[in-house]
Amino acid sequence: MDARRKDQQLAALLAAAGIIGCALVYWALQIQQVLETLAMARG
Amino acid sequence: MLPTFLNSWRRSIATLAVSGVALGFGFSAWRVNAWEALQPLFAWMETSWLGAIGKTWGGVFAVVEAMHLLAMAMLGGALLVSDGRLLGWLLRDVPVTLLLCRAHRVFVIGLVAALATGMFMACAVATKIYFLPVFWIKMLALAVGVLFTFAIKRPLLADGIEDLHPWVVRAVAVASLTVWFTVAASGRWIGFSG
Repeated sequence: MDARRKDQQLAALLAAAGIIGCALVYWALQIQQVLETLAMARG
Repeated sequence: MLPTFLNSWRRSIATLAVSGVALGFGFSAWRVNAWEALQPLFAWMETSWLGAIGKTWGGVFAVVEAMHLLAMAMLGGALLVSDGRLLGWLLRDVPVTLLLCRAHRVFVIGLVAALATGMFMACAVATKIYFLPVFWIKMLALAVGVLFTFAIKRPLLADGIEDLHPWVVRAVAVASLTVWFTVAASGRWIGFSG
């Protein structure tokens, strides 16, 4: 594999890891907020 | 030595640099300053002729909203096909380069249509969405999705996937689905907010 492809692969891996990590944190916080709202609504 | 290293890994370094700048911006006072600076633009958007049409004629807004949803369906369909193929879930008998090329064309048409109709809809409710955090999450996810698709995913997959590590291909497909799901879900959330 040439250097250009290695660079493309590493960049893709970094970007993918960043996106998946940030999305997991964001959606976990959103779900937590929804669950808290539901719990408050039930009293 | 250093220039050769920088040149060999320029795409990876650029990815790290853009991520660092975005994170730095997100956690600094610049973000609040930029948000405040954009307020006159959103006020103007609502008074523009696009905003006036959207607010005055509910039927026009509804038709454009339907077109926006159709464009999102097109975009989502193209992503499901291309990322599903990359994950090895569907259409395994179709050559991956051919499928990715055709799906990308549909994706671009869907994206352009979604952006055009989305701008019209944003004008009609500009001062409302300006104060919704979920709107800014959607814009952030959209920017990340466009950057990821055109600067990372497309150049990586354009030369085929045979020489790529399978986990890199899978990670790219999952990241692509994740970021566009966030765009679509945040968009739906805007409808439920305010």
